[in-house]
Amino acid sequence: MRVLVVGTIPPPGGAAAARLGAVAAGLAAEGHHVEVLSPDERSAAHHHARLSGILLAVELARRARHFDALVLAIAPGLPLGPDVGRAARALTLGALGAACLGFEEVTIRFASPIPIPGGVGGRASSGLWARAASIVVECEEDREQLLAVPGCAPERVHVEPVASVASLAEAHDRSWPSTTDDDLRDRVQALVRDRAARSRGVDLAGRSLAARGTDDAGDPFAGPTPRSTAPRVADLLRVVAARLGRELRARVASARTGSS
Amino acid sequence: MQALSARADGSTRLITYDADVHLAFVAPRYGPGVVGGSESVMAEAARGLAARGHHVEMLTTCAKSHFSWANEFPEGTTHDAGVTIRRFPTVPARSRVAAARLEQRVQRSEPLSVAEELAWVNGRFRVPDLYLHLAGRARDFDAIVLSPYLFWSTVYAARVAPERTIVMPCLHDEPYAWLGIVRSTLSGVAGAWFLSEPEHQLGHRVAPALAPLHAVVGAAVEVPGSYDPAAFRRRHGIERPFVLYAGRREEGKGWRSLLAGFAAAVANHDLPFDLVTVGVGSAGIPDALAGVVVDLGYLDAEELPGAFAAADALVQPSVNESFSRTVVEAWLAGTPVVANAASPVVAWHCERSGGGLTYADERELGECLAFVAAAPKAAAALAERGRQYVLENYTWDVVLDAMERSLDAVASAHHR
Repeated sequence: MRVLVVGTIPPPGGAAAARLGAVAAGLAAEGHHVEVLSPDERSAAHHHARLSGILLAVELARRARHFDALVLAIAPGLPLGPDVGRAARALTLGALGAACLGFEEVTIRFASPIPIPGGVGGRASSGLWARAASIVVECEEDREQLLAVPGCAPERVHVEPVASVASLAEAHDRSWPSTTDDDLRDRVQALVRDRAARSRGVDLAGRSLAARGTDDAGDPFAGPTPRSTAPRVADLLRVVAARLGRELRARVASARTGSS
Repeated sequence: MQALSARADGSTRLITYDADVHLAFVAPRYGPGVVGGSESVMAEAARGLAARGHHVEMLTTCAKSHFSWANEFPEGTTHDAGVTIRRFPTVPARSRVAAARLEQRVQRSEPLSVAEELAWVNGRFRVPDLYLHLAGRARDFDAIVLSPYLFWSTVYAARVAPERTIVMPCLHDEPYAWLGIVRSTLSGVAGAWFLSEPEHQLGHRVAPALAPLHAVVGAAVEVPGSYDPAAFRRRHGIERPFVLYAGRREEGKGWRSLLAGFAAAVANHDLPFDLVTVGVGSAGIPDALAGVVVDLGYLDAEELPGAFAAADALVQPSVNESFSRTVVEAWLAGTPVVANAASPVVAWHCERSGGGLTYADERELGECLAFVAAAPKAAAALAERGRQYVLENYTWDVVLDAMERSLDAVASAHHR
């Protein structure tokens, strides 16, 4: 199956990106042809594009004929930011529902809390949720919200908690051991202790996690999505103008040489 | 598992290995026709470790050319000398205009923002399928070895499972090496392999918080069973004495400066030598030198020992060396080496071995070549010292031992 995964996979993006990366890697390992489309240029995705608002629907519509299935991660800013107006929200979600018609199978994965301003209800979005064969959320509260929407059948809405011990292991220590049960238990114990310490805002040595923020200072993948480095239209126009100028000067010079 | 390992002197030894060690080597290019120092070391180390009983996979791209990065090899899985080769297609840069502009800025050592550095890394080629494959299987490997330092395949793969990753950077003191993305890559992984002590020192300057389990493992070349310089000369119709340049014909490798220096040396010292060059890239020989510079183009690996043995000297003009394989191969063939003193690595080899001459400018190059022409026995004695140095330090037996010690340390650290 040809699968388009839309969202951010690592290196940037923290736990949510790690989960989506694991989904994409898992599909690829199963033998599917997987391509990732991300709005974050740092992501190890196949394609990068601006995906805010209706641009996401445009990109999906453009690419749908190349893929059988879609895995769409709905996250803050993808496709809707917190300040989006009602009209833009309705337009984006409606267009997204229409774009999803181009895929045989659609899976939607929500960040938590569900990053749709005004919630998941409303006529504009109902087509989108109805189109999804599977909707994955991170907690029961989010699932309840979706089940309140007409057309969202309970068997299609799944909870995949993000803070499971397994995912903690992945985030904190990717060398998950395949050793004896005793050892495994010790490691899980250590992870649980670590998690508890983190929830208190300190590490296992009692140091403030806030003070350790400088650890990330040298990591180019840390921090929010930077502004795109792709050339802007103005830059391209400048390049074209410079080329035309050079061409014109060359022609003038050759005309002068010819006449002399 | 037990296996016979060949020594440099032709004898063998029986060694016992842990056959359950799984290794992934990630290199941007692999296969016939691929020319490059780090690519050669990665390929031979992978095959050598496989021959010692380890399970080795080479994750690489479908590209052959490091200029176009076009997909030329077929995608998929093959096997080569005990190594499983998995090839993934490259994805070209989103904008060649932006990539070219960033490349110019890097070359001028202009400061780049973090986002621009990443855009530069993404601007040559990307291999997302390789990334996904590694992300899905990282825990199957006891160690993941990445090389060289400046490509997407290393920068991104280093983030997949850093606790079991070793970077063999093949660093040169060039503008790319001082990018923040290189510093964070070399600091964020478990281990690093350096090919020489000067490269190791450069690694500390580039990344003060260098990977804790780093080591100078060196690199090696196969010791040919015999050399047949006469056959090489016959095959290529070479009758006159010659000095050899073997490598990529690129500005970054000092090819242009060698042409200029050789022309001056011939004019000033009435040298009996031609300059024979083998390798990839356009030689671009000026008309004035057409009679004394011979371009044989790319030669198969089996041809090279004959070329080294037939030459009166090897000239190494490149400053950007992390090991300099051709110098080692020339010494093995008993051929004197004349090298650019501005390369810390080659100068280090020459001083440590007492077997090579270095030059600081065109005049010194001329004097070095004049010495080789005038005193061939003394030049051969120097070459013999170089040969002994290589046999003591840079046979695969020695280098694979060092790599295994490092792999063991990295695997022990993350299994602990």
